[in-house]
Amino acid sequence: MRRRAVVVAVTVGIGLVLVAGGAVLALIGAPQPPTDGPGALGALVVLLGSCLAGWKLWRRPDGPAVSPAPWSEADDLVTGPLEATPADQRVSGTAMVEHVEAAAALARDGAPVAESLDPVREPLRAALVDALVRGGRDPDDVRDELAAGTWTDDPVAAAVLDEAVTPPDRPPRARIRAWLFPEKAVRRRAARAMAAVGSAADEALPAVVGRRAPRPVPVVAPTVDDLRRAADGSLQRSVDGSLARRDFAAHERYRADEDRAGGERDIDRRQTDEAERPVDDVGDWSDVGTEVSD
Amino acid sequence: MARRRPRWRGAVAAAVALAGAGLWQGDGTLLLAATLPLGYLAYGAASTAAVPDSLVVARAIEPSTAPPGRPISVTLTVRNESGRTLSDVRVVEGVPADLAVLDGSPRGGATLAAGETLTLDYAVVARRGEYDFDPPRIRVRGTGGGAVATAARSPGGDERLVCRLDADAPPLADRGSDRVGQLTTDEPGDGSAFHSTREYRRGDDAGRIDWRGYAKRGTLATVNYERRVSTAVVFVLDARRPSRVAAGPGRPSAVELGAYATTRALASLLRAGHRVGVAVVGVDGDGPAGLVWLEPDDGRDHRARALSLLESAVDATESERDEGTEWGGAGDAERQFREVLDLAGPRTQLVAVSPLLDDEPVRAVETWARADRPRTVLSPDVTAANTVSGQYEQVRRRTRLARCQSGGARAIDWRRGTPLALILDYAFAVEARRPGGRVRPGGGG
Repeated sequence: MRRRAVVVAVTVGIGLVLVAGGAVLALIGAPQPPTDGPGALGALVVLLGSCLAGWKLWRRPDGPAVSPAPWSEADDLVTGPLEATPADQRVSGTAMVEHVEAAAALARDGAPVAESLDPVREPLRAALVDALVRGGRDPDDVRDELAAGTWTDDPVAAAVLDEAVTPPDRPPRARIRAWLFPEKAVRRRAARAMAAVGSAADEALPAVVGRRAPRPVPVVAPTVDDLRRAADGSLQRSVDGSLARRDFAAHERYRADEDRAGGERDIDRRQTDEAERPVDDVGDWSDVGTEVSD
Repeated sequence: MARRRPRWRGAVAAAVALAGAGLWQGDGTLLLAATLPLGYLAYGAASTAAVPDSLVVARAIEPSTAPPGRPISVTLTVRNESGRTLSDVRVVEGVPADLAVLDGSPRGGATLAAGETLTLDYAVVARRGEYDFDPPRIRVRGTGGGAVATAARSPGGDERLVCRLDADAPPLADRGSDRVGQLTTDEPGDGSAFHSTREYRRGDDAGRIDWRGYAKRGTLATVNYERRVSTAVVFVLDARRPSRVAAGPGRPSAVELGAYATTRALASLLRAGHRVGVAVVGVDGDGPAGLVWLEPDDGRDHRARALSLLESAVDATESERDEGTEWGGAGDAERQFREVLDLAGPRTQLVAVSPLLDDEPVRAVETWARADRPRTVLSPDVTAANTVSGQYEQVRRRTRLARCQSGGARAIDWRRGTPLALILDYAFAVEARRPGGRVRPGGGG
């Protein structure tokens, strides 16, 4: 308290002196600065002033009476991130991550996008065949459908699951994008294929008790800790570098349409479409929102 | 205690520089300008801060006792009951380290005039155990920001969250008539739910005569009611390494959810007078084949024993034999699942409680099918729908559920967001509508 009073008094005193000095100078008129530069005393004053200013800026005061900076560990308001989740817990659904990451690594190393998808092909095929056969389809028919690409109405997904299926013609803009960002293209196609597999499995598998039961309890959203920012700016789960399934295919088709339309649209129209397009760039939190629908 | 926060060090440097330049140049304007940063310095130095005793803190945890997986709402209120305005109040809640904040924020700041309240609302997800909340830390800064005071204030209200497997299980105090716990048979008999009518025989109870039919047709008929039977049920909890996973960090694991489901269902069954046993696969037990085993029985003590056993299973690490292998001791698990078949009597219903994240439980259920045992698969869902890998796991899991169902087992999918009581009621309601079946739960009463 005493120190604070001293600081205030000294500051006010200096301020008054400065005001007085300024008033005096204003009254007697500004002296002409010496043409040969400041004298030794002036230089000394400037030097001392510079040293004092540098010292005040450099010095970091500490001690029991000084509060540490709020971002430092010594600050006693927050110890550790409160929202952090225990890091030692195992989470489900990591089996496919290895395959997606392997595909992304291939793309990073320069392999063509179609070849980079090899690691995800087999597990996705196995999952789809199992689901369709369990749903009552003949295994041979399923393999024929896979080879023909008729198991889904998404030609990109069909081409991911079987090399014999010719992928659809991509517009130049999409091809350039895939050439510039092959890893992103691989992740997108893997996600699109997974979306198609999920839809086909949903249709084929028989109903199980509880599948369509109401879900009134809010399932909480993932925390910031769970998310990471991908290269394309989208938010993704930190345990899985892939995008969402729901509406993903629709969004992809939208992008393809947009690519084809190209320069036909003016800027205003494009902005309107941007506002109306499916909001899935930030991931699908439909199972984690407050309104859960089955 | 208030502490100083050095803020205007740059202002000192600016004042010195301006004053020096003013003196050098003999410029009164610069000298006057040097007073401006000094004004900030004086304002900051003059500020004071203290956490007043009249800052009243209260915490509400709703519910304070909950089963695993339940979102818990926590509300912390800080009310300024002093007569002056606190220009800068910052509050950080003392969230237990093991609980993840999954919605809202446990920290906040505001300017509190006299009588005003700052409210923090956030949610955590219950995981098994008891968690003490630390007192929230409150920081008050002076108006000029040159002084801060920090204090921990013990709040009124709730201080502890208790997460128990039996948090919402029905009590055993009296024999109830829960839908979940009742088993009925196609064989008609005494009871309360209508089953059929038959021709009247001499000696039938007058209360069972279909008097309305007699008035219409003039012939006597006797009403058959659904007959309740007592049976034995063994819950087989899958606690192997592949099942010790959660949908995300901070969420309860599949083993916790499975133990909760088992606790709730066995409480209902015991309450309805059935005999219930428990087997835990995947942890080291002293039963046959290293199984944790509790013989089917009934009564209050039996429920306590089962609960203790399930709690131990949740807290236990996976079997040492399982360690070191990714999918952990398939041979042991297979042997344990088969052992359940031998230990349980021939007429015992088997209920597998597993997230079905691998094929081992499915093979076990198929083994039970070959022995023609009544069997049920209750599968808590711990997969995430918003990642490619999570979606892949969902498709595999749904396929396994369908495989169990096509093998004759009653498969129940307990998805995230569905209350357990609802899913059990829902499952039994659907089951009750299915034709055939020797023994079916629900429907009676």
